[in-house]
Amino acid sequence: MPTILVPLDGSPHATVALPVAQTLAHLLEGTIHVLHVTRRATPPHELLRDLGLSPEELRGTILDVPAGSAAPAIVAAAEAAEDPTIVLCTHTGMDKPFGTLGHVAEEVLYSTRAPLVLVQPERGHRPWVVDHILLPHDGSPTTAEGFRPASRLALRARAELLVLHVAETGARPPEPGTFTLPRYVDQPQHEWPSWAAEFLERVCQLGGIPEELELRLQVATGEPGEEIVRTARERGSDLIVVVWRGRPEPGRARTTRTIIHRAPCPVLVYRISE
Amino acid sequence: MRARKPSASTGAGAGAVEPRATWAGPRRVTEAPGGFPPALLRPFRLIAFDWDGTAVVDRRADATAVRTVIDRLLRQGVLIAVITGTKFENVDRQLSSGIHGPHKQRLFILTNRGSEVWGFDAAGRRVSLYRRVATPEEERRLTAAADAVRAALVARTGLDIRVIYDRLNRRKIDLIPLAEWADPPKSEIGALYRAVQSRLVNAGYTGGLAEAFRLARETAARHGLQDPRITSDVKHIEIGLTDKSDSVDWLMRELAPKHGITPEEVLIGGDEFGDVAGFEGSDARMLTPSARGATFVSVGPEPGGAPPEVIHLGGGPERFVQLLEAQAQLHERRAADGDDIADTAESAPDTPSPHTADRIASALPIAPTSDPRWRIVDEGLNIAREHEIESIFAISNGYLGTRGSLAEANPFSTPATLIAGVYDVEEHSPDVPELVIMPDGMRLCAFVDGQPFEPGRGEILEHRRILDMRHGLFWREWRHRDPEGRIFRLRALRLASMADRHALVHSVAFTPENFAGRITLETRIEPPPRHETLPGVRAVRVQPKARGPAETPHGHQAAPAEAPAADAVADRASPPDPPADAQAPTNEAAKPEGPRNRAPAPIALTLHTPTTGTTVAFASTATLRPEGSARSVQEHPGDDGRLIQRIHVEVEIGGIYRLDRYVSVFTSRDTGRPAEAAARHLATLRRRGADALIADHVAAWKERWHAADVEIDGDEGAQRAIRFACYHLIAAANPEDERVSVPARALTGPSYSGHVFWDTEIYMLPFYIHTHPETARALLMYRWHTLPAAREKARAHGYRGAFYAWESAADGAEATPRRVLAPDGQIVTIRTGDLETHISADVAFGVWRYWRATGDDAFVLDAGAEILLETARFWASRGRFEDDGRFHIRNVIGPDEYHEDVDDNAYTNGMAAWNLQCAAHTAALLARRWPGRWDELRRKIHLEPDEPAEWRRMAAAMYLPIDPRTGLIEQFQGFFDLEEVDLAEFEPRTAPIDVILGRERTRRSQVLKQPDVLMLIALLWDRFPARVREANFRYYDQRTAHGSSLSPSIHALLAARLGDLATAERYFRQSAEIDLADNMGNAAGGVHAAALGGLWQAVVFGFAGTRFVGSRPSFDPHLPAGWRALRFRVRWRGVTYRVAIEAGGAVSCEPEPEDRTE
Repeated sequence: MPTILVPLDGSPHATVALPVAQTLAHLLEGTIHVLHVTRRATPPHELLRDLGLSPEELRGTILDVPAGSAAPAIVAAAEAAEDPTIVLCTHTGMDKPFGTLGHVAEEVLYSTRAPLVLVQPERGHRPWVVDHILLPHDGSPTTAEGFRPASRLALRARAELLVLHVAETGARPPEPGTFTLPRYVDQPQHEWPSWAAEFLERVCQLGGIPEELELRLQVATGEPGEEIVRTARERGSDLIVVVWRGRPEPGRARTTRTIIHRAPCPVLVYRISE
Repeated sequence: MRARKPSASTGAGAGAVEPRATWAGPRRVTEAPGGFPPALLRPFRLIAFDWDGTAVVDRRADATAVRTVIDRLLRQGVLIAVITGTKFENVDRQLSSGIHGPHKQRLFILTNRGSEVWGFDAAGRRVSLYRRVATPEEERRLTAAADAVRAALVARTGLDIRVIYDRLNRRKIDLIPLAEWADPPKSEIGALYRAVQSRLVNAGYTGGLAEAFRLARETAARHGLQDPRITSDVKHIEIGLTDKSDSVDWLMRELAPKHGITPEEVLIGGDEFGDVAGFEGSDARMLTPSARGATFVSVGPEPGGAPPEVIHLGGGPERFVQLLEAQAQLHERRAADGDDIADTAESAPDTPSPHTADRIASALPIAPTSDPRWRIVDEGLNIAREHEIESIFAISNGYLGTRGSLAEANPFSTPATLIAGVYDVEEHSPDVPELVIMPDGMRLCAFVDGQPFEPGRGEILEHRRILDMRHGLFWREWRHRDPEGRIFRLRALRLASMADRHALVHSVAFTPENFAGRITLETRIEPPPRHETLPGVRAVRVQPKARGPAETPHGHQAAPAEAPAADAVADRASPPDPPADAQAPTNEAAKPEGPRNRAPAPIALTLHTPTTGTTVAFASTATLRPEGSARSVQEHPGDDGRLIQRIHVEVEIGGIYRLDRYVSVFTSRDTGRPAEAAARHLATLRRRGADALIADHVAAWKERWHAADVEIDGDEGAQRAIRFACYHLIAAANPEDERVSVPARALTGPSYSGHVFWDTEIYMLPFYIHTHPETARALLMYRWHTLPAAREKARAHGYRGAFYAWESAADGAEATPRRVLAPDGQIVTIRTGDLETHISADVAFGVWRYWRATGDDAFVLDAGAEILLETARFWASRGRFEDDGRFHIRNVIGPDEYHEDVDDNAYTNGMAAWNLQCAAHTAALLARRWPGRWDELRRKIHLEPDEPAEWRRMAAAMYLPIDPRTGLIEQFQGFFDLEEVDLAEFEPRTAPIDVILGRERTRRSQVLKQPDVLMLIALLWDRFPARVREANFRYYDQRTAHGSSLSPSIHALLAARLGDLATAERYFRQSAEIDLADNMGNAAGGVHAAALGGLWQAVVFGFAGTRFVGSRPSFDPHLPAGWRALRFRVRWRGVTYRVAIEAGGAVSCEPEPEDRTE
């Protein structure tokens, strides 16, 4: 059974993760585990008060209270859980501006191998509905593989999937087998439909995307992070799925950071094992 | 209508010009340089040699030359053995570290003077094959003996004499341990000898080196060494347990027999077989009894004379490399002549049992060519590349093509068979016919216990697909372990017969390596379901045909009431055989098909295209040998239109089995009764047998390659690329069908809907004109047959004459899609169908080119002239005289499609002017030489008497200005005022430039998609002065973004003609990589046929500088630096010329006799 981990530190911002977690748990038929890392033992009723939660809000969830440092404890909890997904607020400091990634969130981002959903506190506590999922895709085989959890989610939510390919000037394909925009477009009336279908076919095959899911493809040019954020805003995306290798490479880390910091919606970061 | 050979006649040219004398006398470029004795000019299968002094000057020398030729020999299946006294690392540094690939397994390094043998595994890692291990007592005695010799020498001379202890199984006594003689090269052996000798003698050791040698022998014996090996390289005296005779013995007793190599097939080389300074040379020990019958050769000076059994060549390492080069050429020529040997190491490098692969190989009548210059190989299975692999490895014969898909159904493959000329439309797009995707006729799967052997189940142990371009065969080699642990190996070939275009053959040799039991082999032909088709292509699929009276078995007409609804038809064209499920007899040995090895009677699956109603019939049957307990069941096609045959057989462990599958294809374009024809034809195929069909096919390809092959010496990649181009061009066209042309992606994939473009006349036609004119004629007849549609298009646009379709399908009607959804989400209107008018002149140019090259007056009288006249008439109505007195053609799209709706496009105007002039000239010629036929034609097309004269006037007044100061031709009016864009700023890029800049900015800039002005110059080269050609190339080349696959090859051609070889080579490689490199991805929908034709032109017209001005071709070659030679054939005016161009510029051009025999 999927485990939806929601780390809360007691700050008001942190609870913005709850509506997102609740929707995920519903769609994936999982169980929410509220995770509060503490250095001292706290009676449950005081804990609820510290977390700013009512008993009703905790109905159907499990409260885990590991000891230790926040980020390592979160990562460890995810490793121990069955089919985990972490839903975490990007930052909880009240005085931090939009687009910040707090140190706990950053450490979890670089450490965990579990899927991680980052939620901007500006989103507030409104319910989260998944109608439109944006899948930025650089054409590489590993990125395509990273879409598996997203396809499961989309299938359950009956959400629309938009694959976004951003062509960069000066970019080299990140890995062998990457399928980029065609170098030659002899006749656009034939080349573009063929290319688009081939691109999506590869996404489906390598990403294990079920046939019943309909994908659309859009191409943009420019700086990938900016284009992804812009498209998400224009399309009203409810979720952006980012696939990355977990390495702070200048180019790819910049794209991921831009998305995380400026996305108008939650971002699911799926880390590819190497 | 069958293709007719062009008739040899005269009169096609407009004035003869004497060719410039650009060639020297004939020279046989394949002759071994310098000449070798006959004993050395037969191909040896094992070549062993000393390293230092024989293959290289010394251990520090550049070994590139010898390594390169050794690599070639290894690839040809020759075993190479290096025999050396030094350690492995020294030889590895110069030789083996630079050899990569499975052929490295044929390389052996025998080191430490007979003590070790090293080989290499499939991954290129060294493997110890033999090591003489000294006992501790032997080690002690070696040391004692060496110490004793040293002590004796020191006592006598007082010299510094040292012992080297750390050599495997030997000790070295250094007689001259001085810095200046630390590592003397072999070339200084004379000076070394004098130095050692004088050192010893001057110190009182009057016997010198010889006496020291005797001392070492006696001392070794005295210290109890059994059979000590005493050798000397002058600087050292060695006391050892082994020497080079042990190396040769290992080769002759271990290696050669394992590969079936006799001593007569062995060559052993060295440089010191004879005496040096009074004692035996370092290679003398290689003359061992075990090597009796082998050939020995010395390249050293041999001051004491070489032994009589050694061929003394001299010349040192340089000469030895020449000898290896001659051997490589011998082997390569043998391979080119079809003497391929199925080689275990190459075909199955990692097999645990080499004999299994041998036996599999021997079950088929032919092996894949081993020459890497004739093969494209895909190792492993990379699903990310599967679609482009299917295109690259497609087989076709001009009538049909089938992709190189995996035979077992799997979700990654997109199998398709395509039949030329069979189109259909979809309801939502009735104006855009699509080449129909036919069933995959090569579907075959093996089942054990109901489970399939397929790549996705279990573990792929070995997988390889090979395009054997020389023989026109697609090979697959696959070894697999299923989840239950069963291991299965197969080698399979497929062909689309070039000798019988309705035939497909699939032969599979297979073995169950570690299991016995019941296997089911299932062949299947069925309409492809939607998910198997190439995505995005609006694929039209065939459907089962409703039964009708014309297709009733045995000629009876079924009453409508009796005809089952939507039922597929089973036709039998031969007397009924015993029931399909009859038990075949057991215990039959493997033999050709006989009366008891009986496959089910042929059954045809009949399908139809939904809208156009073309009937397509597939007939298929398979046979198994040895049939043993084989039982074959064939299902009649049912409502779902499937033709399935299952062969159930009990297999034995290690048994070798062979399945031959025959597929016959006919359509209603061929005959009114395609099912009957397919069934009857299938019976013929079976009677002929797979081996004979394969032989027929190979012979047909040999014939085509004789005319079309292009040989490039010195650049294996370029050689492979040009052969890849020629292979697909040969396979793409059908000289027997005048109603089809070559689609943009040939018959390798349905991308571009199977539409025909100017690609055929401008890019591909020259290849056919000069290598297979009957195909060129058929392609031009297609344009004549589609003249009515071209006339109709002109009329619909308000013009006269023939306005050819920009995209053409079966009938020539305009088939260009009107709109496309661009990747940025915008819907773009496609205007090429309306505005890209140069297509008419392109067709006319093709006609003219063919006529000039062949002198086929009959074609011109029957068809070609009409095309020339009607296209000229189109131009006359399309343009107009304006106030400036010039003839203008406005609102067009030229080859550079980034700029639409422009005025006076240079290419369009230039080709239109040519078209008008050519038509006027043709009219005059016909009127003069064939007045009767001229009158007929004139009346047929209602030609007015003054039209030709008016055409001349228009051509003369055509707007095509050349700036007198710069020599530049403006691509269209206003081009020079557009924004200049530095394309280099956008490199490297992974997107087309118009996507990066956006359509609008691209349109307002000087960025070109592909050559436009330069295309005009390439086609009408002689009409422009050299200054103009150069100026425009420099100007437009830097502005061309090469957004079309048609682009790089033309730039390569032009750059080569202009002598800019660096640029030419860069573009050549760019064009060569369009399909073959794995970084493009859009070969998924089929190979780029125009680019392949352009590549051939870049070589023949560009690098070779072939021109056809007079009665013979002339040449102005500019070969890339790495090309040692270029050879090809061209046909001109009924004569085939063999052309050979060497790096120095020497050209040989000899006419070939028509009745050649080889």
